[in-house]
Amino acid sequence: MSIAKMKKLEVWTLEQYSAGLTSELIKLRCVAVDTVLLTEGKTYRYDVSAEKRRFEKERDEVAQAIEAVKPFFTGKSPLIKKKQHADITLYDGSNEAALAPSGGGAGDTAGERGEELGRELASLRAELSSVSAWRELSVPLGGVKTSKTVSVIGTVPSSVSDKLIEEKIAGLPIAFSQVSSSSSARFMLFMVYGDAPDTVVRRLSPSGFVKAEFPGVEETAAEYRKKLSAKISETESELKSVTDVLKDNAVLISDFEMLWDLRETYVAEAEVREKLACTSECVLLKGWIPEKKAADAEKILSSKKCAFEFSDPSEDDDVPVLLENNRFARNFEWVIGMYSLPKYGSFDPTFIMSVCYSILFSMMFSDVGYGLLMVLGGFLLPKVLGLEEKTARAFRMFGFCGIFCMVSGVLFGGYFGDLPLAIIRFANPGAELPATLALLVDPVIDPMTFMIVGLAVGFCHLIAGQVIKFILVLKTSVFDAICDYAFYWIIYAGIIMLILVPGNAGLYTAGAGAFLVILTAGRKEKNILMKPVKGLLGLYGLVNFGSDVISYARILALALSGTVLAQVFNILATFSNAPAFVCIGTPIILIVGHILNLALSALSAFVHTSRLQYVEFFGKFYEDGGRPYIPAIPSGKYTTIEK
Amino acid sequence: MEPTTAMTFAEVFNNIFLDGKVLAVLAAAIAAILPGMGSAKAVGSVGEALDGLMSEDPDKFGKGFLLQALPATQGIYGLIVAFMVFGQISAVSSGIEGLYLFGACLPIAFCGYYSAIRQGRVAAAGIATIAKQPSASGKTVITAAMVELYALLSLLISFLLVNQNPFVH
Repeated sequence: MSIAKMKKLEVWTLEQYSAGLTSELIKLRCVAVDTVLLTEGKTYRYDVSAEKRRFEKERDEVAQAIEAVKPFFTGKSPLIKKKQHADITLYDGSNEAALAPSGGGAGDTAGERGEELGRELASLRAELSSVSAWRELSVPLGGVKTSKTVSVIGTVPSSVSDKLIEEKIAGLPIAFSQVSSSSSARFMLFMVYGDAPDTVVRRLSPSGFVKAEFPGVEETAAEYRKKLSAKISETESELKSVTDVLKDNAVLISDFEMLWDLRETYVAEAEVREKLACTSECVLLKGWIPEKKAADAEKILSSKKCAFEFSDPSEDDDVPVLLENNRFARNFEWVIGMYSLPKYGSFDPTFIMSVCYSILFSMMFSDVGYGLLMVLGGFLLPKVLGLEEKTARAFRMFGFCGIFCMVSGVLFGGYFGDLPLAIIRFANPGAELPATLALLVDPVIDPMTFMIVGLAVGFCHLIAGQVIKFILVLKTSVFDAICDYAFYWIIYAGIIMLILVPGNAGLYTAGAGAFLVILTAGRKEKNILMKPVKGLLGLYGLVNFGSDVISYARILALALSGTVLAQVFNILATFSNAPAFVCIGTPIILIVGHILNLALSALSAFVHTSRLQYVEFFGKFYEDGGRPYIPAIPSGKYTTIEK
Repeated sequence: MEPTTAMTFAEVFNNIFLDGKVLAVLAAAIAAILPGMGSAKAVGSVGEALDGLMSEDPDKFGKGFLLQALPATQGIYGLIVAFMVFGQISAVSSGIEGLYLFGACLPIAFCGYYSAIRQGRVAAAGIATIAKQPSASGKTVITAAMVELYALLSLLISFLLVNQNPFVH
């Protein structure tokens, strides 16, 4: 429940050792490297752009090789791919070749050539099929020209008769004949006297004539087909040999994947080097490291040729923020991260927020059945799918919320909506059923009471936020804390007493609180006349607080929409007792309907709970604006060292 | 001579409106139609934006899909209210009861329609944001979901009005 204490790390080394140093720091997996500011004319940056581009190019080659050989991988490929256990940092330039002797190059080039051949083959086959219709043509496909005549070939729709063509070219010295025909088109040869073959096209194109062009083909169609067929079989055999190369390389796919991670790590190293400041001989690196990891780093750094220093952050430092929480609360850290991390050195509300979050979420989605599904999905899926820790945490958060949903489901009577009742009603229409399964209150039967429960929970949530602020202010000024918060609490207590306790005790308490607020809210105003005005304005805080409380009415709205939608599906599923419907319709409607409702309601509950945290709760005390702590680490797309 | 078999205009009017069942059906219809139209328009326009995004980067489907699903809820809220009215139609016996149900459906009908369209616009803008800043996808969901509140509130009031129907209880 806190923000990890950070140490500032500064490392100086000589130019020749700097490359080794950056790779060591990446292996440490805990140093967030900052860009060192340059002093004009004295320090400069490494120009790593060429180096980085080379690494990126090599990495992309491996990526292409992976894509190229993937279709030919015949080994067992599990449904869900788990990462290989391998420490990529154990490899470097000297033993990189051990990973994949060809460095992915063979797969890459073969993949490219394969694609090229595939394209070529497709175009050859298309050409072959377009030539087929002309195989009876005895003149060269590309056209024949004598001193007086020129040939034109093309197609007309089969509805165009010889008579029509004759009419169209009447008066011109043109002879024509049909070469072949298909169901939709006639393939025609025209011999044009003179040197104006365009005349045919001009006269006939309104009737649907399309000129067929085979530029540069001097053979007749039959000869050209033979040539094409030979070329196709040649290309096919080359493609086969390329495919063989890919097949041979496919067994290396896991090596290629490790190689990708290795090369991506080189890119990450180059990115670290970009941030350093250098003189002609010396290099300076600045970064941040969690206090707990400082000892490990010290051990490694002392064995290297460098000078280093750990120091505490100063006031002006923009320290990166790493949240540290217990096994329950750390799954909710990403919800805070989505808003904004707390400022370094401020209060980390993750634990309190995660408890409030689970409670509010479960009230919006109070159902034992859905809760159970969320518990199963939230805790099992990350294990089954082998998810990364970051994604797994989001799943586990919903798992924990699911536990709360099951508890609230018992209290507010949700078991996939009213499924148990619906089934009994269906099986035995005459049975006397209870109106609800709820122990406490059913949002559908008694929405007003449920809304009051929701508002009460909201009230506690807001007060919790104010208590946090109260404690924070208490550290600097006890008087301010009491004036700005405790006096308001007296008013709230009075209002609650007014509702719950008969008599005027509540009125007097609230009145006393209001008097104290009016008296003190203007205390910082210098102008004596403005003091009472500011004092009265202080009461406006009540309106703000009231509207914040009303905002929790959404709990009722969400609880209703989820529950009623579930009931709608239950009614649809038990609509008819025809055997066919019961066997097929009922299970389908129940499964599809409840999965849909689970997805919709969980999403709504997630979004609206988040909003209540961000706006209503955090608004009371939160100091945002923390910069996330992102250490430089080796790439782990395909490999992991986690056991 | 008055025809004895044909209904008079007054009787026809009586049958259609004063019986109340027709008004109740219209109530259920408007509760399903308007929010459904709004959701269809919104989900459609967000889908178009998402398809545009995927033409550049198909991997962003997962992030954008959530945004596309958000304005679909209004149609479902309308369905819930329509369904509840549907359950009461057979019990309606007077014009005023039908009119009551009709009025009860108006909040979700209009607010559902309008909020779906406005939410769709925010969600479509969110898709544009994801194109440039994939890391902000969570926040775009939040901004789009803010609009949802008003659909929820109108659902709440329509629900309470239908559920606490004084003519039934």
